[in-house]
Amino acid sequence: MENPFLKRATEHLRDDDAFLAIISPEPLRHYLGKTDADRQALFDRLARLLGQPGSGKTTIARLLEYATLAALLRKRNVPDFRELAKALADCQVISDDRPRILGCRLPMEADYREFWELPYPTEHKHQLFLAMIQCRAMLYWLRQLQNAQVDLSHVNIVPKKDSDASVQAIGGVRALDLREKARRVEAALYKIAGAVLPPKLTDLSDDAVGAYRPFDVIENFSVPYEGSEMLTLQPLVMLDDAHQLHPEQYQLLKKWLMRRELKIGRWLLSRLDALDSREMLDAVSPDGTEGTHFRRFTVTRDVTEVIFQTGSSRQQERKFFRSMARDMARRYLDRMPLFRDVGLTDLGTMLTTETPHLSSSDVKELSETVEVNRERLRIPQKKAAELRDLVTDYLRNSGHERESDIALAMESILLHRFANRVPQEALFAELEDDLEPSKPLAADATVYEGARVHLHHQYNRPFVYGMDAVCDAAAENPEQFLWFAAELVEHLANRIQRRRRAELSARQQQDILHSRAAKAISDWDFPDSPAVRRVVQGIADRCKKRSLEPNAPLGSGACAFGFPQSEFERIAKSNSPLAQVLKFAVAYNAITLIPNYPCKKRIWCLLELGGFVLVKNGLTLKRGGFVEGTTNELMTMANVARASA
Amino acid sequence: MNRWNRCVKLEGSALEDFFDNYLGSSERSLLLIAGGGFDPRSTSIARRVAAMGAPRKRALIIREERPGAPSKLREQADVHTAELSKLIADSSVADVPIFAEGNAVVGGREVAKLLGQQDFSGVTDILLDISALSTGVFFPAVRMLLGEAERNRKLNVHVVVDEQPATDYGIVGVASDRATPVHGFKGRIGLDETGSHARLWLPQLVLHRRQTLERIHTAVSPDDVCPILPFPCANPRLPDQLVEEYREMLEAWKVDVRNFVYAAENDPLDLYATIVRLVDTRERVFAAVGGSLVTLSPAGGKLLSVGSLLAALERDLPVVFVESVGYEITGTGSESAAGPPKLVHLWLEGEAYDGRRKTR
Repeated sequence: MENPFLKRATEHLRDDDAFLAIISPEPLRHYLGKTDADRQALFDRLARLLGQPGSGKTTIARLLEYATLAALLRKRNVPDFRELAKALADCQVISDDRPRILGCRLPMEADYREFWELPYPTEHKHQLFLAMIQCRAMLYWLRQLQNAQVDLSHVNIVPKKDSDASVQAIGGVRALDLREKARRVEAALYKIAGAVLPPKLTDLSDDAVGAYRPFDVIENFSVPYEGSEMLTLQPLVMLDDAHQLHPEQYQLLKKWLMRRELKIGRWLLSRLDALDSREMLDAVSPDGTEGTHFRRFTVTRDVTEVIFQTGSSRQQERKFFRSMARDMARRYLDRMPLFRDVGLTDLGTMLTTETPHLSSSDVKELSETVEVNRERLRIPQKKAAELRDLVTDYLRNSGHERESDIALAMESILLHRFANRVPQEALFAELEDDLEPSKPLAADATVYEGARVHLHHQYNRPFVYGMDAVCDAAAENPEQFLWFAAELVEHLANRIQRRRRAELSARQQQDILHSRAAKAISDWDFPDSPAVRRVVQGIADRCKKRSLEPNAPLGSGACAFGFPQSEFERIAKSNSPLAQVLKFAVAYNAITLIPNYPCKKRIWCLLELGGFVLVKNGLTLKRGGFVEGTTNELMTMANVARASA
Repeated sequence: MNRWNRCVKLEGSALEDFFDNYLGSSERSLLLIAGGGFDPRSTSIARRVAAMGAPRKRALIIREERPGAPSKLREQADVHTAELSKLIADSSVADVPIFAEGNAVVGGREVAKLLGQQDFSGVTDILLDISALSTGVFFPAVRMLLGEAERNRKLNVHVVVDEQPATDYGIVGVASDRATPVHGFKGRIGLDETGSHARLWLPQLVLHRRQTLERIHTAVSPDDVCPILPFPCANPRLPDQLVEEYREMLEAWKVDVRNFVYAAENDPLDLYATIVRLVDTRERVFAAVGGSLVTLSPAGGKLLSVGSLLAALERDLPVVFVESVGYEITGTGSESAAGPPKLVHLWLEGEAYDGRRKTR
């Protein structure tokens, strides 16, 4: 049975129909602006789209390619596609059921970076690089049209006014002539960049160094559409993976694309680490409104900036991701006949959220432990009963009244908190029944979550299960969600084939998710991945220790490492080995950086562990709790002193 | 006929004979190009060359510099480099940076530049010892040296390796985050003219490199995938382990079980012949429907990589790989685990092929 969840990267889906079938319209609405003015700003100036791997940048770029749009519009009456077409119309990509733009995605592979290694002056290298981008864009635009079955002999460009000489230099106005010229330029440039030993600057051919500047010339494309109708399309070039360029090359390109006189749409897609440290810091910094908010869509005079994954409030972001992940899962399951034929396309219904219970012997043991602790802490029976009542009330009001094991664990936490909040000598006093803690005790959701963490580690009680938990474990990254979901779906398919109930118990889910998370971490294979592995494990060990303290001081527990913001800024500005390790950890979702986090009258920088690490180590998926530390501790964890020697 | 169908390949006593009676003759003037790396096999060939008394010999020792190399491995490399310099007195050491700023791969370009600056006059035989050289370095080096041999008909080009698959598998690279063509091996990949070609990717499967191969797959974006499995091989369970480890990816890549290519681990010419045959067959089949483009991704054992290298040279195939920013050595790759030297030699160009050269 083919499992489409395994094809996490949409690059695996080469067929446009297969690709469109799994695309949710939600990210378009979520990321590409809220107002018409926002959307206009995506096409009339440079737009930078930034995000981590798997955050969906490339998927959106592919969706906006002309051949994909044409395929979508051919099937616009299919309900799922209609929804997508509507979202694209909202984004001003489609108008009156017709494409409005001619998009092509240009991956900035090694070819482009190679130009920076040529032994020529910067100006010449830059010109060769720009010529390569322009000829490739031209060829990709025309290929998109060809893939959409457009007859190129009827395609022309609409040049800007007064650009006759420049038009001749790019091959004319007819698509076939433009392609011929672009191919010649591409071949000449390819030969230079690919040569084992580069030719002398004086030996470069005219095709390579000529005045080839189609971006400066083209205003629109005139393209036949469904018979005799002619469309005027705005060309859009989407330069993907721009972080692969040399930093200076990237800056020069950005500057060049910012020119207001360009009429084509131009997008630069890259990972956050393509930014310099300062820019990266700004990009992920809170915007000053209440709670932890991040800016996501910014329009300035020359640049529109879209940041994937970190937007509005993090709570809202999580809510949005849950709904998007459900939609994605539905679309994927719909492609699997085994599930579709029996009407099982809601993954959430197959992942039980039924509360798991400890065995009666474990409950008995836990109960005895709580009583032993009460005696050891010298807390009177009456006081313990009051705390038990607090727990019972909370569980009843929150619909968890049947969770007797959790009740005991919560009671244990409150007993320890009580002991901490009462002066020790008072516990030995005569009037023990009147003891009152310095701060009132409460049984609330954080104590409940803390109890779940405790029981998971003490009795292996399942901790991560249910659709929402799977979504939260993915840390708002679609690719990570698919990584988890793929194995869950595999097991469900197996059950259906064996005619068993299509449902996974909490224990089964926990085991599957844990092993998937461990596998993902052991698979990490990127620069500094061994050091990243050491850092996140070091942080996870500290978080675990803190979370398992008997009084659960952080409630739900810790999932982050906090160190002074000033120390972080010093690292961010340096090019130290630790900065490199953190940069790759952020780039590959091993941690999320939350700078400028106010807590206890200090400003912290938090390194929040990624979903894989949290699930593998049984740490809370609730955000906010962190262990305090220093840069030196991070360096020790990373063992970077050794690497930098 | 294919260029290396009758390639001279020597090992064991035949190679010993070759060292003693051919390379050891007083008319020869040898240039040994070797890697001064942490690899425990770095000095095996140099020791054998040093043991030959008669010929004139000099050495060019290449130090591959990687930003993420742990100090322990650097220290080992220092020891090996010093030993190489001692074994061949007339030697020079050249540092070759593998990465430029922003983690761009420049090792191939740098080694090409280095070899382009060498004076080969008077040299009769170049021995390129690839035991401690990485793919990104020795592939362009071989291309450069063969180019030199085209110009200087008296020059013989040999590739030698201390082949120990267990050592190769025990050295685990820490991957860079981008897949790139090996310098000089772009083979028309990415050109518009090959955009509509049917793309076949031949990755060599190795343990613990799933994400690396996934990265290359994304870059190559093939229509079909034929993974190369080492078989026969020293560890007969290895092919099964590989298939098990890559099960999920093979499913995502839609690899049919009939698509596996089996290649003898210790015979580069076996893989070379297989790839060339495959490429030629596809050329014929796809000629009428736009053409075919076969991309190689060597990894793991050195000898198998040489098989891919020869095929790529002969048919101008793209070779896409992920360069390592550093290495980690597992138990089997350590100095202590390295077995006795097992030298293998391939004579790629020179007087052994004089007859063929005349007909070319």
